[in-house]
Amino acid sequence: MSQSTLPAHHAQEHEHQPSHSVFGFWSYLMTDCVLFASLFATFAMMAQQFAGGPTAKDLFNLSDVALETALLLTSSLTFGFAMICAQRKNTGAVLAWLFVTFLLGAGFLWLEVHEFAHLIAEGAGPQRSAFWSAFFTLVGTHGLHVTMGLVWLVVLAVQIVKKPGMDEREVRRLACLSLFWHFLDIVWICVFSFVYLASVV
Amino acid sequence: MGIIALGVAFQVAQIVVSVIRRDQPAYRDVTGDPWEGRTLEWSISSPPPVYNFAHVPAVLELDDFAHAKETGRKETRSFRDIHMPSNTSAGFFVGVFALAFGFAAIWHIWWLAIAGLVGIAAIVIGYSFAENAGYIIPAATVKATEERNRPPKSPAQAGAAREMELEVL
Repeated sequence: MSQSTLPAHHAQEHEHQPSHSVFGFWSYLMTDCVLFASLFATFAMMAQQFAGGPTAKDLFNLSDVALETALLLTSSLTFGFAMICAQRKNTGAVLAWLFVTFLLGAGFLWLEVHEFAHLIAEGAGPQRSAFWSAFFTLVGTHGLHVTMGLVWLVVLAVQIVKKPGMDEREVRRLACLSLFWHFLDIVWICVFSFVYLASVV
Repeated sequence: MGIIALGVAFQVAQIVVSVIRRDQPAYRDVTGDPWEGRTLEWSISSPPPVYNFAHVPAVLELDDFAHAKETGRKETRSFRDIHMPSNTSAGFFVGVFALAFGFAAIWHIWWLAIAGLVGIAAIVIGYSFAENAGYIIPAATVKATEERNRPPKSPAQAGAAREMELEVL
């Protein structure tokens, strides 16, 4: 069978259909929604099941959680700035905003790990009661998503450094990560409201 | 137990016989549709070409392929260049690391589980750096492939002829 290898730009001109990546990524986010919905439902069921152990009121430190929330919300804003710069093909500004986003995300994670360590040291690890199992599963899953997002962000930043033209492919990938990042932000707002605020009230 | 063993033996025998007699005319399928299939997978030639479908199938009826054969509806679109994705071994290696990870997770071999996960991540990330520009199969090649495996036939006859062949065996 005769075939020829193509340079990238030719392939793009030849492609009959635009890429479906962003649509596919939306579909993935919807399945992730189902995952978080089931974890939230589990948490709601376990909200009072402390098994005689420490309660949420005893241990939650709302001012730290508020700082985490502020970091994550701000990182969504800075990612938005990165996307605006990407549309304008301003590569340097994109990388700068991605760097700020990374710092804010890493700060969020650092606070979260700190909080987890504090809870476990107080005897409220995931094995202590149904409440703490549900808490660590839900908040830990969100934290794992943020960690993956940070790895992804670094990979994209390296790709943009290697190919600074902000071509269609780079912008499309950045758009997918942007969707992911904002999605995690929305999930966190639910975590903040239903897990932290609701448990303390 | 004995019956299961017999079943296994016949399955092996079937594969051996198929391999030994693969070049005999009665064993060769040149139509892509030896059993009068009703669904779209039988509409492609045999062996299946790398691009699978020369055109994206236009489905107008339930069991469209059967309907097309019954009413004599023919594909009228002309052949076009087909843009294929680049070949890659990434999926194979992800599978190898996923196997290692699955085994390690079941048996609690944590260093291997971590190595498996890191391996999967490294391959996926490495693959994301590839150009993946693909290649083009020219329309003429597509046409030749489709026509080589499609001797002109009327489906009903081909089915009957096929039964004759099998009876002769």
